[in-house]
Amino acid sequence: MTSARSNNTRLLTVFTILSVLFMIGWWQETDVSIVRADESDIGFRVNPVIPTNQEEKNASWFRLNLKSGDTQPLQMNVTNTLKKDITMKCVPTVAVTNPIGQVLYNQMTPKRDDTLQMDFTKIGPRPFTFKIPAGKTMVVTQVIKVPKTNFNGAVFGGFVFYSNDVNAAHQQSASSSKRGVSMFNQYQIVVATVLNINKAAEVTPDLRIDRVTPMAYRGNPAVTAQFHNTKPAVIEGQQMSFNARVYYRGGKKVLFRNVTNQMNFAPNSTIDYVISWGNTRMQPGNYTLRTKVTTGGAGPSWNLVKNFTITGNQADKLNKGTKRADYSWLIIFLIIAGLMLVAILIAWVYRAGKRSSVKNAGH
Amino acid sequence: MKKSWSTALSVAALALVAAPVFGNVASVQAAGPKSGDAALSGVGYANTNGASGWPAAGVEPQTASGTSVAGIGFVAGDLTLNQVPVFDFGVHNIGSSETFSMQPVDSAFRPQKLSGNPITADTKANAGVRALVVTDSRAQMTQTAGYQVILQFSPLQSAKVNDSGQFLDAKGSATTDPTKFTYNTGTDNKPVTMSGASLQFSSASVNPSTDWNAFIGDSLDFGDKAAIYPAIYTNSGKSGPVPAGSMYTTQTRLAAKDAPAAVGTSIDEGKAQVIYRANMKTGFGTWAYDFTAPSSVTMKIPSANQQTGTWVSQLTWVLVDDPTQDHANPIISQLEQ
Repeated sequence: MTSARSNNTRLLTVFTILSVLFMIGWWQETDVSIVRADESDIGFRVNPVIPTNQEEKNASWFRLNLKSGDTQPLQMNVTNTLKKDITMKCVPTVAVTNPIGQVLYNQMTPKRDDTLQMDFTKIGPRPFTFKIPAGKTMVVTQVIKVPKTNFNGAVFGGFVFYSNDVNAAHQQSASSSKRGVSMFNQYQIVVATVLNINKAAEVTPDLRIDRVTPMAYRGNPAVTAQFHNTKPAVIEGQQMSFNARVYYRGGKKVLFRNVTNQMNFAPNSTIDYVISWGNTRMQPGNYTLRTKVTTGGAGPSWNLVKNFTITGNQADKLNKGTKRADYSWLIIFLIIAGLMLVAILIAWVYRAGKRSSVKNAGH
Repeated sequence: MKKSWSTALSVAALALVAAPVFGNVASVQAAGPKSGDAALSGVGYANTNGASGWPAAGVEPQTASGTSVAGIGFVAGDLTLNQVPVFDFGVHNIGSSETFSMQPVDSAFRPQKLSGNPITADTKANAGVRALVVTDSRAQMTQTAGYQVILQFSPLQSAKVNDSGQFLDAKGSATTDPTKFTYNTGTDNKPVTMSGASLQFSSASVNPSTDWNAFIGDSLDFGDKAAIYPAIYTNSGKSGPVPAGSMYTTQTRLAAKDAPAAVGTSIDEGKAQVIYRANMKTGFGTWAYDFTAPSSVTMKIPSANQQTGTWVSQLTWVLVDDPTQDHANPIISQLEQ
């Protein structure tokens, strides 16, 4: 009897728990707080199909460990969400780094870094054009073919998807005829791709400063220092910091400084890092750029030094847009005027003293 | 014996006929079903060798194979770029200023809060027209991987226009198609550009509480800054039919902590950088990065660089998920001067 009561109690408890769970489930079902647009999008969507051999299953990028001679197909679903057929383009790219340390995968330039050993666009991925009927999805396949190689390192690239049909459709509606500044929108969806070839984990980044060049930055004089990650290894996780300081050569006083945190650095890429003079006029002369680069925790760090010279012509050209007026002639004039005034005063005092002494001698 | 040979040949023939169909089936399964699909939409293929194709009528993949969705189920959706803003900085006298705000937005194109009595299931609040809108429905709430939007600001080029200010194509005819615009060139035969321009993005306000309707309704132009809010939401506690392609919502469940992040930043002409980022576990659903306020984005051009004429720039909006980002970190670094 006791056992039966106990069983009933257990059943009641289980029932209660199930009821509560059901109620929670029901509440979640009926009170879903999800906001998702059912309006149309820009005209197309791209979703990578993550390969079964990729460790990060939930990623929306490709990151694969490959070996010499491997072949790896990569598939991406491309959907035309418009009610008309469109022509799409898929362009493979090599990743670069922008001036504030963000990795860009959409730069469709043929320019390549001189330290790049394995070009993502040369190991299988190819640019090509295809048509998608209205409302349909197509599977785009690009095949990576790792050559027989002893290369160890990371290869960063991307697949840029865009449609001139989509761009034109949006631009037609947004354009107007008027004077002034007009801005037109274009659209790209990019699938980032990281290939770790052979023993990529054994390669570490190495930084150097290639050159420091005077330039105009937002109308003010500045220099841009080209920092170079010369190895096929990435600095990621937004852990990298730059602390760049400009000195007169041999000087200890920091003249200008730029500090940036939370940076990344793509393999075999450069960062054109700006140090602005602000409203200060640029003086010709010999300078030194010292930069402390850290990558967080036990990561590598660098103290990079580069001498550079700014010529009179370069300074004159860059100072033209400087808002602060050139007061150097006024300062020189005032100094000369001040010296002359002091000389006159001294002469006057001397002569007055002399007269006074002559008078005193006469008495 | 003859019969068995015949059977074998028939099977072989069937297999040969079916092979191309099942070859496409693999692509279909890779594409997967989409929310709102009756079954599976037809899926084609395109390869870099130039081959592309489409299943012929009657042998479409969905009739041959596919994943059926019985009862109710949820499938991973897409990462979608729904809308981007159009920036219009107007016409100004040369040298009148170095910083230019955008033109005001007409009331009809501002963010629309929930209104109407009674509020029905179809009543929705919408993002303003001058807003960047992204939808992430690839994974369930708090499980999202994040995304980022990069803006590339191409240099301002001097466009050829007629006396009426209309853009001209290569034949000298008026055109509104930017792909056909022609540009003035210098002595070096390169397009004339106006250097030194930059776009300045104000920091973005995000509602500290969860009352998005009050945020949109009471914060006209959001203190003349950019703003981030759910692009679509419906009234709290309402129930009703789920509109096709969307899921029903309350106004209280998506909080500021779920929002993507944007900080004030600036982009120099010719450069590209991240302006908006959803970190890991944020950005689920549809969010707007709103530029209704005229000063939410300004263009800076040094006086010394300003030149008369009609200048054209292209803004390329790039939706990408960058594997190098630490998605847990919500701050975007900024160039110091």
